[in-house]
Amino acid sequence: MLLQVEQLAVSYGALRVVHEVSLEVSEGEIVGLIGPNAAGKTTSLFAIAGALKPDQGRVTLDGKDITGRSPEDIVRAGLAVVPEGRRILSSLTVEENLRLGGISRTKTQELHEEIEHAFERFPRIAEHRHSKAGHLSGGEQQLLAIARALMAKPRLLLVDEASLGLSPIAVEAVFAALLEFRSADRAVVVVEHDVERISTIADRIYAVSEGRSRYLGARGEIDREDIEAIYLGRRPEMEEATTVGGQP
Amino acid sequence: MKEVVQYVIDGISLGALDALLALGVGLIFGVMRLVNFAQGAYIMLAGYVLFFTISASWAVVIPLTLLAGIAIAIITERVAFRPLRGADGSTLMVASFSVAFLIQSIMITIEGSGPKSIPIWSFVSESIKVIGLQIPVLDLISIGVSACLIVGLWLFLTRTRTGLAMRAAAEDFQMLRLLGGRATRVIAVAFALSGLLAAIAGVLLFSQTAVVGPEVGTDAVLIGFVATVIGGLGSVQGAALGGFLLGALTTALQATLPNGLSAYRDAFVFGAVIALLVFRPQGLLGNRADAERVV
Repeated sequence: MLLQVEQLAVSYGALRVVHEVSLEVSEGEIVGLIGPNAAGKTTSLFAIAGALKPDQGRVTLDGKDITGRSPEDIVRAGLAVVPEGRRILSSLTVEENLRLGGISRTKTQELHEEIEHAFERFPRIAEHRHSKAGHLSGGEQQLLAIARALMAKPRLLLVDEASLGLSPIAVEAVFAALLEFRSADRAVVVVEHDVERISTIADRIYAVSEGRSRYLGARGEIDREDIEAIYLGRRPEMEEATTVGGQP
Repeated sequence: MKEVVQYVIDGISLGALDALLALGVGLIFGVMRLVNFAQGAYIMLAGYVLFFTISASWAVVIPLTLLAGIAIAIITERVAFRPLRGADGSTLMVASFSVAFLIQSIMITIEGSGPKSIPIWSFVSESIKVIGLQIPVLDLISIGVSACLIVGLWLFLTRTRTGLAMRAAAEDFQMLRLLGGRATRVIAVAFALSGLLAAIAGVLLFSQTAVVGPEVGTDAVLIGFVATVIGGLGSVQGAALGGFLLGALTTALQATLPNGLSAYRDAFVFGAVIALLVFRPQGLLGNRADAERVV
């Protein structure tokens, strides 16, 4: 098991936003996390990545407990994040954004080689190498955000709202990059509000609603009524079905 | 004509000093969103180190002063600001005032509240004659040192990993951490650099005034803050530009205001700053998000 999240609870001050989120991700998988706005998806992702301290619960990456560790330590443990809205450093150049993505790498030569490799893998951003990242289109920024996250050589990539605000062609490019990253020893968790889109690439899907997670099933097995219930906020079914690890 | 050139040199020299003050303030604001008023205490402390050690060779005194500036900045970061990381801006600002007052009080306890005269090296008060102009050596030193520091800082910020991380921190600190940037190291380096800049500014300032007292850095840090606001909070280039513009404006007003109004020079300077901010609240090189955060 690459990532195991057990009964995660997270608050902003006195307000609890995530009550009980559990999920499991194995090597070689793309796992989708769906749910309506303000369901707690992004908060869960940030808590897994160390940007928020969970009130309770446990997060293990490749068997190591990373609960409550700093984001910089978690990156070094093998987890990288592409946050919602891309959060490209717009005043820096495209190349500088990539250099930052590799800031946890110790060998300079390796970093240079990896930057060149990223430009080969993502030719659309290579042509803007020395341009300010803020000048890129939305799709190019999302590709840059993914390329930047991959610079840390993660084993697990968390992508928040991968397709938000992108054209269908850009979404295709972004999803192709995620599929290319997924391999025998690496995995991806994609947070997505668009169920149709996530169903095209995710192997398994979890739902988060009102701060609670639920395992929906593997691709092709998901019941449309379940999804409607989640988006319409029918809680009783959610609570019944929540299990540690999320797998039924 | 000679007079004009003389004023230009004076303006650049004063602007260079203001730029150093502004860069010190701007670096800390960039990574912590903190206007560190303790920066004035770092300058004051540099003055006292000069006062205590001035009888030794300048080759010993200057490195000692710079080390003291770096050390006090790192210590205050570790003891006062690190435990408050993540606190809101007003808490951090109160902490910075507290640190400044604490250092002032310690110096008053040790040396009293009166000003101390520093028998500064005689060569800095000499002038050299260039194409009929008497140029003070100190002006040349100020311009040269500031130019080297600004270029050095630019190279550091653009060519090194830590510099790149500092620029990223100025834009989105959380994202830097999510990419693996070491927050503690970035902040500590920013403080060390601000301490270094404060100490260098202190050496140049006290070489002009030859007097140090417990409250002497307060005005300097305010000038640095104003210059940073002119350039745009969060922008290192803006801080340097704001410093030079403030120095140039101060010198220009000094030269052109009639006798009856020259006493109000600073009022005109700050009036011009307010006018600039009305039309461009984010400063010359800042962005709107920073302006909104300041409001």
